[in-house]
Amino acid sequence: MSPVFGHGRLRLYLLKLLEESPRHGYEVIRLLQDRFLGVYSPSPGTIYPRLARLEEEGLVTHEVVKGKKVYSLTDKGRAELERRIDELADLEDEITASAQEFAREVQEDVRQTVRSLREELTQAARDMREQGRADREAWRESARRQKDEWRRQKDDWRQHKRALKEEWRHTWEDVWTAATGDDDALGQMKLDRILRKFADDVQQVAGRGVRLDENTLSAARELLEETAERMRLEIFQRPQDD
Amino acid sequence: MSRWTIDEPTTLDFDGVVALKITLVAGSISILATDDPPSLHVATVDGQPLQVSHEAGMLSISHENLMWEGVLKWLRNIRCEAEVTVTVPADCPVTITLITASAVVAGLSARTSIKSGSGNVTLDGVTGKIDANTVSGLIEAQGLDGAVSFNSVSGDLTLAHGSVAELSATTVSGRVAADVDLAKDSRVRISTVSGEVALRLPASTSAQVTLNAAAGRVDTSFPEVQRLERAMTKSFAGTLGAGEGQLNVSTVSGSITLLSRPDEDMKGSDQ
Repeated sequence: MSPVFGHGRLRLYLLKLLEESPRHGYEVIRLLQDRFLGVYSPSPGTIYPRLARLEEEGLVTHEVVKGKKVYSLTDKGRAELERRIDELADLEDEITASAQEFAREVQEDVRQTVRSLREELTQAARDMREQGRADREAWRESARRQKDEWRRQKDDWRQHKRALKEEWRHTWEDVWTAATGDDDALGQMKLDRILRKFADDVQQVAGRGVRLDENTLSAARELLEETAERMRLEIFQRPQDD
Repeated sequence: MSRWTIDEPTTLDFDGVVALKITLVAGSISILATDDPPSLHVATVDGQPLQVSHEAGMLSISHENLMWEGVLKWLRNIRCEAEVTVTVPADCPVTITLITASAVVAGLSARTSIKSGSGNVTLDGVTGKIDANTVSGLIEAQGLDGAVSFNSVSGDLTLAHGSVAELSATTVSGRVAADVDLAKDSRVRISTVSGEVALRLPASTSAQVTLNAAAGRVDTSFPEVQRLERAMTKSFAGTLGAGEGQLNVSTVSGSITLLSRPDEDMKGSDQ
């Protein structure tokens, strides 16, 4: 075990107060005040962090009673107190000595806390950096994978381009025939294109999760037949009448 | 008005102190809060005597004559060292000036203002406004609660287990380390030239964060704080929680570490 207690007799004294009986923070403050005969009135800010720290180290535990924290000694804390019983006897004599003595305790204790905080933060930062390095390694790996993916994508594109070129040639041939062919052929081709587009559009609309049951289909067929009829009457036959 | 010139161990009691001013060249000064009548205890005086005056509640203790009238003389190494302990009411504002002397301040709740050359200062459970200017002196604090302003050339600032509503720290090569809670709407602004900055905040902190390092490294364990694409400097920014407070850290060549710690309810909720 690390020498949790190589310092801070003030904390030893806190443990002793808690060994006598479980107490809440304010009571501890009042007892310390009595102890120093009013020379020093510790503020909550000086006591609670120390209790918290003792708790972190597992020497003290607390339970909430009526909304107040009542601190008590753990077995580990009791063992620690046992181990330092001699020191405690000295402490009894010394601690009443003077505010000066107390100030020295405070200084030593804060210094210790600060030192361990610095160590803790440095260690945490180091751990995080290690983690960061692992992350970077993972990132590099994923970057490599990404590159492969890119290469595949590029091949895909190249094939696509070829297909596109082919299509272009077809379209061009269409246009060429249209431009050089007679008017009838041109009209026919245009109509073809309109119809094909119409079919595509309808298919696209129908494709979006609509259930194509008997009713829908017959409705669609009706509409199409009606349209075809209208076209036959209104567009393709009327011009002959004019 | 009362005056004393102290050249031997002495204890004085006062009926009331509303403000305290101390100037010490070497040695140590301890200032503790008390509910009893204020007192001054001088444990040792070596060399120059201490001047003490108590006027209209203002207690002043100093090596002052020596300091301002004869700095040169003082530099020609005259001994002037004293160990002083003062107890005052918690709400007494305190002004401390130190050359190489160290100071301990515990339990005060008004304004604490410190000027120090190379003297180290320990603060314990001090609340209210704290103002510290040092050359190379360290400030080490535990259980602070309030507004802290720190300026130093090479002195370190360390805040353990406290809460700040406002923290502004400027150093050249001094390091800043803090493990604190940020009060609601807190403003934290830290800038150093080459000093490292390490902060640890509760995971539930609510603040707008920006971290800038020109040449140093920046690490954070808050996933919300992300690197910005910006040339020349490393910039990180992000919003923690609702983003009520502000946290700005900038350094030229120092490193910045922002860590999160799990929330705890260890604050003195039972006061």
